[in-house]
Amino acid sequence: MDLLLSPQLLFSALVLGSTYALVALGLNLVYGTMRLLNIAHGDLIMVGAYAAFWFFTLSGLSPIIGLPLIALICAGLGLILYFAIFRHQLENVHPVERIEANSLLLFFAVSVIVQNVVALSFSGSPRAYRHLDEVYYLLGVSMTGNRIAALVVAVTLLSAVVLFLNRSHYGLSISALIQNKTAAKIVGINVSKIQILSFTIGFAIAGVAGALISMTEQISPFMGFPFTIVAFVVIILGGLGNIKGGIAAGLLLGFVEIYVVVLTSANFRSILIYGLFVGVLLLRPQGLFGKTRAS
Amino acid sequence: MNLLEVENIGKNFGGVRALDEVSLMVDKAETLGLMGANGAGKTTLFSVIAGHLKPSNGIIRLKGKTITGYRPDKVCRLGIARTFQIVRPFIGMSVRENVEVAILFGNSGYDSASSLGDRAMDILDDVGLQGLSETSAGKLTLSARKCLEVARALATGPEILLLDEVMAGLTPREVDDMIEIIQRIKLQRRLTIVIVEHVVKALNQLSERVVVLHHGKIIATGSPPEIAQNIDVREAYFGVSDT
Amino acid sequence: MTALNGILKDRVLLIFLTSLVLTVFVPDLFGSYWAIVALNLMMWVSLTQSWTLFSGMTGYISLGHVVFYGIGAYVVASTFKVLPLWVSIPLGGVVAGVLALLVAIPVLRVRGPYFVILTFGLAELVKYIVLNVETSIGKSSRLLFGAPTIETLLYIMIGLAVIATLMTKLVSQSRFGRGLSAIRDDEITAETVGVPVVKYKITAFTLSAVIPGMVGGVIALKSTYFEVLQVFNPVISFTVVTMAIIGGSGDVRGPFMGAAFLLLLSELFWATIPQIYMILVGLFLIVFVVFAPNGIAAILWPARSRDSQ
Repeated sequence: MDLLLSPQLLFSALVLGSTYALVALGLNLVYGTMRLLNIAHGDLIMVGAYAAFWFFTLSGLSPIIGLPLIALICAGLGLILYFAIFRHQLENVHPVERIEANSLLLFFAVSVIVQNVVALSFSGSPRAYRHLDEVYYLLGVSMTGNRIAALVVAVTLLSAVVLFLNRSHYGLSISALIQNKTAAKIVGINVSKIQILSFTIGFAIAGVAGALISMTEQISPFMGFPFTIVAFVVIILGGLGNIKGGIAAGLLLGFVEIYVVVLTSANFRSILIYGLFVGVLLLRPQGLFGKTRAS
Repeated sequence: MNLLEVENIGKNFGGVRALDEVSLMVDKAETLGLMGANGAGKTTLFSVIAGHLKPSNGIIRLKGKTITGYRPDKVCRLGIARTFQIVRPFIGMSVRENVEVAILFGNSGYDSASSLGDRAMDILDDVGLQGLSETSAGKLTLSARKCLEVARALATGPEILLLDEVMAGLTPREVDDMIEIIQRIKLQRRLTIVIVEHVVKALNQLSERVVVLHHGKIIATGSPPEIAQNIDVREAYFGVSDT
Repeated sequence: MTALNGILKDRVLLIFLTSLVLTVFVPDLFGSYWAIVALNLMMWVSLTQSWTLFSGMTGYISLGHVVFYGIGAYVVASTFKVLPLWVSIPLGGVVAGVLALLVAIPVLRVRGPYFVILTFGLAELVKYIVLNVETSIGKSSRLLFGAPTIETLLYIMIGLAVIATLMTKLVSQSRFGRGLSAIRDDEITAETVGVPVVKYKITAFTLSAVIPGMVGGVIALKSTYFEVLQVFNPVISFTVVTMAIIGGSGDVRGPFMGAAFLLLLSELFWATIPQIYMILVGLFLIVFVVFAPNGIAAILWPARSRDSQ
């Protein structure tokens, strides 16, 4: 009982949960506005992680300082993919079911390509670097600098995105598009412009999440897939397209995972994540916290 | 005995009561018209009868046998065919193939004695689509698509045909053609028809009896002239904007 | 029986099946290296044909085909030297079929893109469950000493490729196949005209699992060891889907063309730079999905592919 309530464990869960929330946020933006399930999402996280690794290793640039640059790289990748592949699908393919099925295959192909380009360029072996790994003690909890930094950045970014979606002109357009595409069109929102915007922001957020993860975990070209699955679990739990629900679900999953691993063994982590994934899809595809927005 | 009995059917969507204690009887070889503004529950009633929606309460009987909650394919094989207000052809198939699938799987008891293609062509003849048999169903005009909906429903060999706004969006000429087609197939096959239609002229011309739905409730039943005189209907239906 | 008559009159199919059977001479004529290549080709043909039987016909794209292959391999590996192979290989097919039948009812209620990601997740879940079972009984990998020769395995695999092709062809020409195509076009309309959609989807899903179950068993014997992460590798599902799409599933020769094409790529690049092979596979998948969604078969034999659609 003491173990379960220990501040140490709570801290770990909070760090993991906020990372998951961030990982899922990017996927949710792309899904919400375009109804496309991006199964290459985890690979963008991997790209962000590699970018952080190389900036740090080659020039000593701290990933925290380099975040805008990393976000820009992933956003650029998103723009290239959008204009090279997905715009054609969205504009020329009917019906919607066809676009959804095609896009899954296309994202799958993108995932394989990105993984192997990175593996070819930097070898397939795992890498890690040491940055901000000094230990601090606060309220009896020992925490490393990089995990504090990851938590602070994740929480800041999550709040910023929620504010952006609720307050700014573009953010409100994105929210409107997530709610109802037809209505958004009627009130004069330029749908394809907003789709490009959220596609790009979604990719940038994935890059940032990857950079944060790279500070605390080993990275490899094939690290992405589990994150894709986590992101799916989170956004389905939170209600597809429901941004705040997704953030809550991300935190929840972080807690569940930490406690399950502590109570059983690390071997069960994959079974837990995939079991939840299959379970939520079978039982409640409309999500735990929100109504479905998919029509 | 009544061919189709709908008894106290209710259907809730969330908090909305789309159908509220709807009861009606349909006699053999009768044509029953369903009237009501948009959202009155006409299509919902069709979906409940055809098995696409499960009713929240109530019973549906076909020839005295309860069929409530049966899957759509089973309802179809028992002899109830429906068309969709928003047409749903198999767009990857030709017009003839659309009809062939319905013959193969419907209530008609397909045997290989007569060629499948010939039987499909007979049905296409009846609705005037014989000239378009090899056209891809995705490439048809609206009026041809509406005819295909009717042909495909007919091909399942139904006793009861549920026609959902098969004339919506057609020109007056096309409406006249469709009325003629429906009258002809009804006579030829001794069909029982339930028809939802916003084109009042068509509804009056085809129906022997009309039922008016308003906010999920039946507010009037009678012959077309009786309905036209009914005060409640005038207020509820003609008074409300018909979009 | 009319379907069977149709098969006997189908010259394209007969020539195709004959050429599959002629592969039995590969070991004698070209030696053991090419025997392995032939075995791989027959494996991919079997897997892709069986994938087409369900996913090609209904449009429910499965990214979890590997799970049936893996389960079959697991059955053969865990009963090795306990059951004779003529029992354990078909048993692998049966167990895979039963697994498909068990998961079909809940899984097939899910539609569209959710079905696609669900099949993937399910395959991964089964992989990790098997992995944990194996780890907990202390068998992270199993060696299979005394497996049959490559030639024998090739003959079995040719048999499986022929059966898989025939099954897919028979289904596509039957009333059952018509119903599946109707489901692919519009499931709601299909059930409205009387197609028993639930029964048909479950049947097709189950049938499509049997062949990969047996293929997995044979491949475990070929590699003479069994390792969970290898036989449940999602890359296998990805490859099958890519082969089916590149080849096209409207013609029996489509899956063969797709399998042969990717195998050629892998012969050229896999041994030296596997990443290049994977990148090319990804690029080809994109090119075909965007520009030629009906695959090589539709380009080579346009009329025929359309007929059998």
